[in-house]
Amino acid sequence: MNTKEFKHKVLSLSELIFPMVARMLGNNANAEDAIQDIMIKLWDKRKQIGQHPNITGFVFLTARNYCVDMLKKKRPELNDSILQANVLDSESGQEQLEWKELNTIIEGILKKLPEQQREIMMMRDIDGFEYFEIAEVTELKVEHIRVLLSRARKQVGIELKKTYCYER
Amino acid sequence: MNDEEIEKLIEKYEAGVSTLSEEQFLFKNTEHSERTIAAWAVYVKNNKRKVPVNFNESLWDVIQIKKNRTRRFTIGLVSAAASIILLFTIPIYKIAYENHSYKQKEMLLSEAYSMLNDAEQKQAKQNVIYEDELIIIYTTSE
Repeated sequence: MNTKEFKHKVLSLSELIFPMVARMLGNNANAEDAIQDIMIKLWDKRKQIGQHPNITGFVFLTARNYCVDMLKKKRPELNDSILQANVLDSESGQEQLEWKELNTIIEGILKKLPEQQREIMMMRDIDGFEYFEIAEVTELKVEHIRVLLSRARKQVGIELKKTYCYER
Repeated sequence: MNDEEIEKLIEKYEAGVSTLSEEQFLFKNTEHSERTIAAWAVYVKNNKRKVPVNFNESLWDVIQIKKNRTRRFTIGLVSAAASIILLFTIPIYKIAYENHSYKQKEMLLSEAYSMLNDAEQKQAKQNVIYEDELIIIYTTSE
């Protein structure tokens, strides 16, 4: 794989994998460092990658495995200033409190989901991955992903409904 | 989009058959949706990660720096190897020269001398127009 091909086929995926890496590592700064590290490693192995039948899948999977390895070494840093800025940007104090409460509720619901379902739901709704991209990362079939996603979405809906019923 | 269409979209979403653009539309237009969808949409909005501006370009710059550093290291390594080879070659050449017989040395010297003579003859034919420390401008009859 030459420089031009690497830039076009591998480096261009950096922006796509960024949301997933940032979410998994819990911090945008860590995600930038991690992707830089991943891309340098892939650059060093560009000759082997060139012969890979599914370069996109390989890059997604490499990024995910890198994050899993990082998480094994160290827990994610959840106090991300950029994430907090998303909330502070437009909302008043009352809304911020409400959001914090909602965030805690949803985090609790997500924790109860089976790991695979939770991961797929996050990849789809938060990271904005297409089904085939999730399939590449999880090494599952698209049909199976749709089933797991449907179960997860329905479960989250049920749990949220319960929460609002209790509130009433 | 009316309530019925939103309802259908929510059904598609829950069945896992909606497209990304349909889902984005659903999360942006939560006023007609159920409260649960609205809550999830707020969670999604606040947890979305924005990609830094010119992220790909900055990554490419880092790779370029690494690439140049590797190239410089390779050039340095090759230069060092060439210098070492040269250093080893000079004594070998010297030993080979010292091993020449007196006649061989005389022949080599006379060959060198004849070359010098040629140069002198050529220089004699040169008509120097301008000369300083750096350049010499001359004409020849050739």
